[in-house]
Amino acid sequence: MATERAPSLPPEMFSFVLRHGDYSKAGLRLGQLTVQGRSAISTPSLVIPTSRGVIPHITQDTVSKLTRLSAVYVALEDFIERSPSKSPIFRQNPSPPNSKLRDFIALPDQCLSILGPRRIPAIETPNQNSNSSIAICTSVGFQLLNVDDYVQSAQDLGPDITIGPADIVTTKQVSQKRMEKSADRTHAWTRDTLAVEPENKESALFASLPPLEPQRQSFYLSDLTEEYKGQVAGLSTYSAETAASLQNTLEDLPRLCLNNPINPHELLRVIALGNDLVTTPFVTETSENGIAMDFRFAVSYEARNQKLGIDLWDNAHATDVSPLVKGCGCYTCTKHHRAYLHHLLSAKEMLAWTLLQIHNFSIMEDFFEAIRESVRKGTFEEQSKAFARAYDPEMPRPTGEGPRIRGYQMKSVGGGEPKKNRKVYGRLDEQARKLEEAESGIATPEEDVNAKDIEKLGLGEVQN
Amino acid sequence: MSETLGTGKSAALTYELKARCSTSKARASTLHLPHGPVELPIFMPVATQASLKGLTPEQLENTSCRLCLNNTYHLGLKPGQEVLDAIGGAHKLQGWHHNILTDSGGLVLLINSCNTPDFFRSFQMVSLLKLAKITEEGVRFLSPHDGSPMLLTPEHSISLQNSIGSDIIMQLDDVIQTTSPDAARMREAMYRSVRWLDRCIAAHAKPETQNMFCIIQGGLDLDMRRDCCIEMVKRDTPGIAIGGLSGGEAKADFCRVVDTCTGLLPELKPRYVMGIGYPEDIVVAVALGADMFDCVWPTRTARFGNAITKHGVLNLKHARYAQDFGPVEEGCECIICRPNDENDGLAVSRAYIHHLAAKETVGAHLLTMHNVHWMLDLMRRARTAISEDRYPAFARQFFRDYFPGKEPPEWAVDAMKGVGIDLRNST
Repeated sequence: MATERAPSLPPEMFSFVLRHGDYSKAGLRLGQLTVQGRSAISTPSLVIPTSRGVIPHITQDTVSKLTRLSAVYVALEDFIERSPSKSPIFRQNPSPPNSKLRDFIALPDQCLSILGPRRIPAIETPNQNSNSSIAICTSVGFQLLNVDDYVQSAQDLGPDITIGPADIVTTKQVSQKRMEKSADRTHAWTRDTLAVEPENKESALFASLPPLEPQRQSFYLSDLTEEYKGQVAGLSTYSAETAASLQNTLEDLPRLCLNNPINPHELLRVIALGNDLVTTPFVTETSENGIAMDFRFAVSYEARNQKLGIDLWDNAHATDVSPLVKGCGCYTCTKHHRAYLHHLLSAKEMLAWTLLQIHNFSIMEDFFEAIRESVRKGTFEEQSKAFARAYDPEMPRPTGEGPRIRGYQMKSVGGGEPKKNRKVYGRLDEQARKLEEAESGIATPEEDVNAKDIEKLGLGEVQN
Repeated sequence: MSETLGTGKSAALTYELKARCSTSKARASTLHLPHGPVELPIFMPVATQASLKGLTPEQLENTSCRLCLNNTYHLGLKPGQEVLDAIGGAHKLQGWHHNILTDSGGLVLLINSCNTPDFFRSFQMVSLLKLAKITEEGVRFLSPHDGSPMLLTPEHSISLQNSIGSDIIMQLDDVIQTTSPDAARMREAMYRSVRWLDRCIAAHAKPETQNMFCIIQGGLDLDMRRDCCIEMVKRDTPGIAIGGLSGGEAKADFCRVVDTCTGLLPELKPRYVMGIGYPEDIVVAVALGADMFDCVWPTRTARFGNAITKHGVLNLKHARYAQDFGPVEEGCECIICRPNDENDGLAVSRAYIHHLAAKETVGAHLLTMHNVHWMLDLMRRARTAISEDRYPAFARQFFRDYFPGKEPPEWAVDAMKGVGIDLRNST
């Protein structure tokens, strides 16, 4: 029945061509994803998770002028404080060819938009998914999102790619039974999603593959292949390994891994397993930690003990007017220097995160470009080994404070965790204490103190 | 516009008077500074710690800003004088190739605060004032960092500003609140500011590349202001500031002080009213003959979700904007309001700012770009009006638009009447 339907999208609107790699084998591949209206994306490539529709800390004009980013992930839960149909974004009157989503968030043309129900990484919710709904977290609290509403919303908003609904279990330990339920629900939700005759066929559906043990996985996949092949434009996975288990099934579809690799080593593993698009939330996290990424994929085979990033909180950079990373061509490295970044971080100026995002995204784009190059040359495996030998296993640990964390960004379940943000008004408490002391005459500088001695201290004596 | 009515020159600046309003004291001029010319009257956004609240220097440049402020006190603390010397000044620190003005670092929190009474600000101000002791040598205070005693002398302030390398530097002055009832203390502060100006001039190491402005003090006492003008003008600094305002005085008093001072100042020097202000304050002060203004309000208020528009300030956090898909201001030419098809405009809606306000830093950045552009555009329109000798009509239209359906404020009507502009005239 379903197979009689026309493919979801004609090839001029959506296509994925494998350029390199063996269809019949699991593992790394090189491809090109073309979506109408956007520039073609060479894969493997990265997808940037947004927060409330923006790439954190960089305005849309900066994205277009100073980055090469080609795809963003947007979470529906960031837009539905009210019920899905009543939320403002749905009232947006788009100017063609733009979708409601693109116009509302003023997304630059260069970026492909991918819509899913939940943020990446998703915050654990106290309530569970049900047979017909996904538990979500909005800026005003936890809610349940009806799966039908999600599908309707996605159609209405018109992202370039829609992630198929999935029953993803966020807890670490998952029972066999729960896993079966997850497969059944996701299967049913996929069926229901495809049963809805879309009003506009402009959004490509990436069906979800929940992480399953191999046998269940293959049942699930054969169902998907038999019933829906042709209607599904791509696959969304939630674990890097899922792609590797696909082998001969649906191998011509692009695979998007909605995952959170925590550093470039992990990212390489995700790519090596055959994922074409990968979400990389760790880039924003690194920027917020005040760290400039400093790695490249084509590293010499002899290199050892290299750091993955530079901690710009470090006082060693206070007067260093060299670029964050020597030879980096990004805006931050060509127009600014380490000393400015160090100053901005210690002065708590928001521009620090902006400039770090620009740099870190540039490093990531270079990283992916070098990966694709190595696949073309057949050196990916050697280079990956050299990379693993050359660089530290982890990103440097943060030593300074990042931006204030908002409720919808916070991983909180059940309460009892320590406060996420430092008390800002504490500074005033401190002033009040000093004021008291001053009034009591203890601490006020007296006129008999030698003026020259004090003046020597100047204003510049800051111990960090 | 190419015609010049008069030129004032000093070592590092040239002031060209281009046009005078035939009714009021408003004037249009070009100020040539070490990092390029700027058109007066001008509004200068405040990049306190060498960064304008999340905007890249290019984004600030794209708002058409060519002169911004840095605060000496903040840069003196972070990154500190030693670092500034090592790097080679604030322009190099922040990658800004245009002009910078710095204050003296004296009582920056007093100068910084706009006229709004605000608990947070006044608390900080009071605490700093109480912690500071002003003596003939300078300002003694406790380091907000570690509580150690510090002394800021006129010499030290100038030395710091020399390290910063700003195009316009300010003398250290003895500021007390204009509303202080203590006339004797006020007179003492005024004369001390004159003595400190002499020390600042003597300490200034780079008069060839940095322009020092004196600061007229004297509170709300017009005689004292007159005496101060006479003394300060004798010292022949490249520019002149009117200080001590924006400290919570009545607007009518503020206008009287500006009017009195501009009446006594030489015509061919720039006049800077410190810490002002709201758009309506600026439109009036321009008519009273002032040229330069600065205030943190447009950028600070942006971070609270407030958009400055032709029809007044809109708090976009309010629920009424959640479904308002129009631009922040219809017809505004800033990058966020411009439609997509106009020179890469972002076409950001009020609804989207509402969605981001106080939640994502990008929301603040977008609105900051709009507000700064708006203020600079207001100044541009004021300047054009002066050049075309229609400033009175411009001011009337501004008040009609900015206070829709309301009479212009009483203080503005009175102040403008004093310079021949009838705001209530409907033509």
